[in-house]
Amino acid sequence: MQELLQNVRLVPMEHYVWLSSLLFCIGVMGVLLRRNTIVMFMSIELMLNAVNLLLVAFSAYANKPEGEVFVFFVMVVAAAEVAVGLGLLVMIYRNQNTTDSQALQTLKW
Amino acid sequence: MKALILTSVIGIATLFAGVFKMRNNSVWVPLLGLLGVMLTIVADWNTNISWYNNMVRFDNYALAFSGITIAALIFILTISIDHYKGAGNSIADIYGLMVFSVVGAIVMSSFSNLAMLFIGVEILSIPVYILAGSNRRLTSSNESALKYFLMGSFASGILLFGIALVYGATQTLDLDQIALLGPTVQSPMLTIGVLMVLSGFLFKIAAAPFHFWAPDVYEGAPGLVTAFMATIVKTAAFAAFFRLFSTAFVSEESAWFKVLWGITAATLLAGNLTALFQTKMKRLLAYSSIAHAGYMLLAMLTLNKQAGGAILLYAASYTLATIAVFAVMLLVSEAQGSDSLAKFKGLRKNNPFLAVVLAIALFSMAGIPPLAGFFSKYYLFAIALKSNLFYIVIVAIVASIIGAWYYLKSLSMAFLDSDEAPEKIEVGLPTRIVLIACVIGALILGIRPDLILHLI
Repeated sequence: MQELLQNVRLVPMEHYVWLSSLLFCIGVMGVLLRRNTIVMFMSIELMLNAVNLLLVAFSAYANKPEGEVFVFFVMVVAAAEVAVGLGLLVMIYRNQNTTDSQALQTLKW
Repeated sequence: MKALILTSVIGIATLFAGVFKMRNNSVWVPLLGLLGVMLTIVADWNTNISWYNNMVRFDNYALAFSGITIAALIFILTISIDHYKGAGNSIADIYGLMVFSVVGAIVMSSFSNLAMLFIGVEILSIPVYILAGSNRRLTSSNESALKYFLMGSFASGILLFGIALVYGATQTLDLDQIALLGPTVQSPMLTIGVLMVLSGFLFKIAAAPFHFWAPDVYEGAPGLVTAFMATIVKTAAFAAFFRLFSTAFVSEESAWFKVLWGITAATLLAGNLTALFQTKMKRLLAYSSIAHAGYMLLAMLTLNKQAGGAILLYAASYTLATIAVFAVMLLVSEAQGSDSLAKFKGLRKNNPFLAVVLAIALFSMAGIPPLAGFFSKYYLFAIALKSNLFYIVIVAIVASIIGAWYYLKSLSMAFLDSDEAPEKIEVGLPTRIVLIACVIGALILGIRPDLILHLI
């Protein structure tokens, strides 16, 4: 385990922060710009995984297990969220025959 | 802690009630169970124990806010006895999801570790995504669920990234230690993290400019679920928000104070001004709930421990009034086939009871003495003035005058004479009990606000 942590520490911490910020931003842009709801779900997953990477890096540098344990919680929550989200999508697809977010614009003002 | 465990068990028991096809009787499982949970909260009062290496701490603050959310759920379940009459077997699932969501609300008011905060937010939100879409065949319900899901998980993503940055800067997730270490940390990661946590929360409570999802979601979701979102979800989000920012992030005040100041002003004005132009009751209530979030944000700005009591009082009076208005709205829109404001015209003629309840609830929301809404607003303003927040209080007072205008406008509908007055609406006994309880609660809190104000 210690060896593994040392390998994580071979890369400077800033690089982890920049990489996961970049991944997170890609996720945010995906949610905001894409129209297909499945791609939007994927982008939200990308946001959560960027956070996981960040947590693991921080936790390796701090030499504390909290962050790594938190990652498991995030994974479980992400799985639960996707299960619900895909369920909703199936429901919508049955009613509307599309998963395009633009098709769902009946509620306004 | 007993409350948390017991509520989770009740959620599972409610699902079993559905498995054994208890149909409409299944409501009694959560209803009686939650009354039991209220007793454990009273029994745990003043104990202040932390559990599991300080992951959760059940101090009076946590117990009081859990109590409000559970009481609100008891009211909503009681209304549902009438509302879901004749619904199919899946009714127990809806009750179960509501109870599970309240488990999240309890976690959110009792966390003392950022990991528990995130888990609480998700336990609260995920069942509500499903509930918002529980009217499966209705397109508007589908759309509401999807919008809520996308916005909600987007907000949790931002919140989570903020938590990760705070962890990186302070190397701990524990609130007490963050409060200790915060002032010594120089890293910009802490500031950015705090701001991201802040924006995650602002999404959840639907503060301007992050409020655009709320009216759509509130309008599309089934009425009872909207009442659930407007009361329980909002109260829990505020409980967590205040708990976090009045303890762990106080030292970062310079980073978030100005941002929150601007957002409070924007929320107060945007919520109240847009509500003026609404023609549908549900949408009006959505904008009014945005406006009420603005008043509660005012208390956040004071950085004052006592503000917790003021938020608690405000949440309680807002919950009572909102549940009463929603109960009346559900009855009227069911009888009239729409929740448009015009359908309330002449309500007084054949339904004087509903009209009077609506009047008291809307008066309380508008902040007219001697009802609870007036004193809760008064205490918020007083605390804000004590902290020298002069200008924002003026904005809030202007906003509440605008608010009074649209509440009274929709109320005057109900008291106008009209030829198309709704027929006599049958009010079932459970709903009647809830309506009377809400009215009495609004009066009692108006006359004796100190009952709740000094609880914490």
